[in-house]
Amino acid sequence: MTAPLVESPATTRTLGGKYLTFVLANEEYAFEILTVHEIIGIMAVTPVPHSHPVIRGVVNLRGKVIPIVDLRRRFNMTPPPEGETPETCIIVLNVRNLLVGIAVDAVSEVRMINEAEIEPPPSFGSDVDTSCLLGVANSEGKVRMLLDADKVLALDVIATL
Amino acid sequence: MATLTIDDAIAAFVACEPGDEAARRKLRERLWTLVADRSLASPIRTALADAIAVLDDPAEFKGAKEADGLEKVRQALEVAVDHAECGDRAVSEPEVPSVPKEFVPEAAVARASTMLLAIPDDADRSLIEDFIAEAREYLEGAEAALLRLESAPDDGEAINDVFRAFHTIKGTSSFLGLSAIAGFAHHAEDMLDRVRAGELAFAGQVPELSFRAVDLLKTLVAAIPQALAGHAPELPDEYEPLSHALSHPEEAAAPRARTVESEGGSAPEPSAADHAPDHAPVVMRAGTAASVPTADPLVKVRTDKLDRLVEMVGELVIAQTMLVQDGVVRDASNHHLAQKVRHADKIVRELQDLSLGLRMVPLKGAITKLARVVRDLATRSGKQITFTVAGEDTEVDRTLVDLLADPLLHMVRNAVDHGIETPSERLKAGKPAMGTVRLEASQAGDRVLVKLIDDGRGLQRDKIVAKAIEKGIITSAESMSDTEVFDLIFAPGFSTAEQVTEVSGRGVGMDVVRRNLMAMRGRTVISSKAGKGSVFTIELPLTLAITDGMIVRVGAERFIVPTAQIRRCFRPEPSAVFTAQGKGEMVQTAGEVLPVVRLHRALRVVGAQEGVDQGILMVVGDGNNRTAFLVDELLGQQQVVAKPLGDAIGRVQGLTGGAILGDGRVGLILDVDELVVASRGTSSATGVQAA
Amino acid sequence: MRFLVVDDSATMRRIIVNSLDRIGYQDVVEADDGASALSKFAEGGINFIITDWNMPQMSGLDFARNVRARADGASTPILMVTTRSAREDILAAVEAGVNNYVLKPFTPPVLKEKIDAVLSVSAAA
Repeated sequence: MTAPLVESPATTRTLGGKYLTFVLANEEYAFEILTVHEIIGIMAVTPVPHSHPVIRGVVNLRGKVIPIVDLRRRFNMTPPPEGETPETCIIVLNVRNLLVGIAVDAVSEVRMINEAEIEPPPSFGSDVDTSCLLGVANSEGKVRMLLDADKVLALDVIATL
Repeated sequence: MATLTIDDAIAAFVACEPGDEAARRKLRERLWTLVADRSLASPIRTALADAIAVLDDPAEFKGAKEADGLEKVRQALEVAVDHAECGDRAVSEPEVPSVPKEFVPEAAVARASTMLLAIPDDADRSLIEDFIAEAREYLEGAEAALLRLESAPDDGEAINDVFRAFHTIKGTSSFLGLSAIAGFAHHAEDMLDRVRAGELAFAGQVPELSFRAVDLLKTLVAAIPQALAGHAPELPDEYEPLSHALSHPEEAAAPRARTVESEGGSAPEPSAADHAPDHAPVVMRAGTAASVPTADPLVKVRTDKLDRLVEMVGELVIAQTMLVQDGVVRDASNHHLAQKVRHADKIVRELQDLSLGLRMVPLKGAITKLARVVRDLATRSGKQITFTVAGEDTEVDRTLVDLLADPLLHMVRNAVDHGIETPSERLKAGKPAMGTVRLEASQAGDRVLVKLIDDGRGLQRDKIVAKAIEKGIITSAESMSDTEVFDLIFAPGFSTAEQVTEVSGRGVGMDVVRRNLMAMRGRTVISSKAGKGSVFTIELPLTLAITDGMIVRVGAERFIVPTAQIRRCFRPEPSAVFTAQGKGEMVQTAGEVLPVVRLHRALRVVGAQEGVDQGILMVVGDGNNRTAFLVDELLGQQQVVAKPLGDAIGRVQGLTGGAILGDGRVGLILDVDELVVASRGTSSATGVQAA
Repeated sequence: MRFLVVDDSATMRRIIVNSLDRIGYQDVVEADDGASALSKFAEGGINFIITDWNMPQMSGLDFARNVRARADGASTPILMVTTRSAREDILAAVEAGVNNYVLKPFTPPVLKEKIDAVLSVSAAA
């Protein structure tokens, strides 16, 4: 599949605000809280043949069929050695009226991140494709990568990797 | 105000200084009061009415013309005064200046200066959106009425319907500042008004001009959204010439041969005005036709809400089914519980019928357009065709009506272009010169049948075979039955998109048409007799809201196969399965040899049965596409509500969507036809290639 | 003051209702054809009728005649909305008992003027 999940807009915005932080392969990431629809526990995922490799499958969200994107696969990480744990959960994002679930290792907290704590994404040295990063927040000695939901879900980028 | 006299009117007239519009309006109101006064003699009232008519026409008082306008009013008033003074004495018929027969909206004048479909800045957008929808309805109605007029040119009610469409569009668009539309509709209305009055016969160029006027208005209305977005589109080239032709239908070019009425050769059709007296007078009949609005109050509901409702009721039905089948409920000892569940079940079923009915619409909408297509195609190819329709009130799910448009268009085009012969060929074959194409829609159980029947030459096996070989679809047709050969017209690459483009404006090949129908769980059947004609049948479910599905297990996964597409299932003998060189696995069953598609390979599922004789073969598809799918196990039938997999995933090859199964997990619904086609595309039927 | 607005075009009804609203009349009953308009009139309480001329089945003229034929409809003001103003139209409208008519397209002030004109005449009569 070469079509983008959603198009990525070129916008400049202030980045300070509330974020939902979560853990993936022992690193901390965050989505802007405004893009988060809800958090659900991991549930039986139906794999969809011939769909994009980062699509783990589809689940039933109260009668709606929504796709689940595997964030580890999205960032070319290996599957978790311990498999799914009780902490594994799905963050349902609402990006331009599309509901998409993101499977993550664990959700941490909702926290306020001030503009002053945010630095632009590093040009190298990250496991994550930096084009998906809004920035890097450094507060109380912890580094959190702020993800751009639009870009994470723009699968056309992956197709060309 | 019985005391008001003509003198009061004269006084009001004298008060009319040039440029004083308010004074003119005051005069007009006085005149109206006098006209309504029945104690005045009728010639006086007639003359006063003339004065009002002049005052009501703003064109009479535009700029420098104002003096002339006032002069006309003065003359009319003088006639009235003469009559009043002469009392009962006979007065010669008043010599009144020619009174404009009809008020020309100012818009019609403004239009000439600009050739854009412009919308004023202060336009009320929501009103304009309403207008677009309403104008479309009126134009559809006008088109249907014009088609009725083709066979019954003196149908007064139909003429009225066409007139009313133009009239209403003119009136409403003038309010909305859509001056280009108001101006054009005015010309069209004018011509139809003359037909209505018996001045002009519905013959010669008039029908053609009417059709073209409807088309042009449709184009203009369709361009409104663009204008609203701030890009006023240019008016079509035809705008000016057609406006002129509508005002002067008598001088339009020599009439073209007509589709239906050309029997007996087209006698020189004279200028219609000369012949008007020969035609039966226009009879105004009490309305009976479909255009009569219903008296029941209606509520507008957003379609997405309606869809959601139907979907939720579908879920309710499925939940109810699971409840009814639950072991505890079925346990004989729970007599009261079973009774209550049965009662709830009855209510849920009724609710289901009711909710499905909400979304049902008559096929009429999709069919009306076809009459026009037949007419245009026949005219172009010099054929004479009567097109009749039966069962257009048959109702189907709203979502299906739109999807039917392409298949119907293809069928009709096929029938007219390839089915019906030219008049001379028909006469030679001992048939009437006039061919017939008949469309029949009917409901059979929970399926809808749409048949297109023509009495043409029938499908020509030789030609189809030759074309299929030329296109490289087959190498030889030796072992093929007629049905198999006819089925080739649905093969990819057989029909080209260009053939349809000129009629429909969009190009879709016959193979895509069939694929779309299959995706809707429909099927197509062709039967044909050489020299006698053909019957194309489209069969569709009444609704897509609920699918009867067979749940099958493939490895650890479950898939849903629409029951309507399953012909039968069987467990094969090991010896019945063989491998034909280069053609992959085949199975011999009930006298036919079918290709085998191992679903676990096509769907990349691991852990499924490898031995064909260990699983179940499911025969699916029609005609040449009959194929046996290998699955591990049949888990049972269930009604499911089909849902899209979501825009984020998009369309996935081999799947039509998903549905929630009894345990709350999502099951995927197989796109049987696509899986079959994909398996044919690969040399060894091993799998569908990922996109 | 309760108005009855009769027109087969829903857009046209909206235009008229909006215009009435702008000149201060909010109490409006709508009907999309002559027959339903008559039954709405029969329910009572209508003080002023604004009707389209050209409607399917029952024309505005026929509707006006039907209203006038009723005991309670002899004096209710009727304003006709039309695009035509010729001698025959004016006379036919008057014969049918129409009090006045207003030409499309009109602005709210013009509509007000017509309504006021009709009301002042009926008040004087």
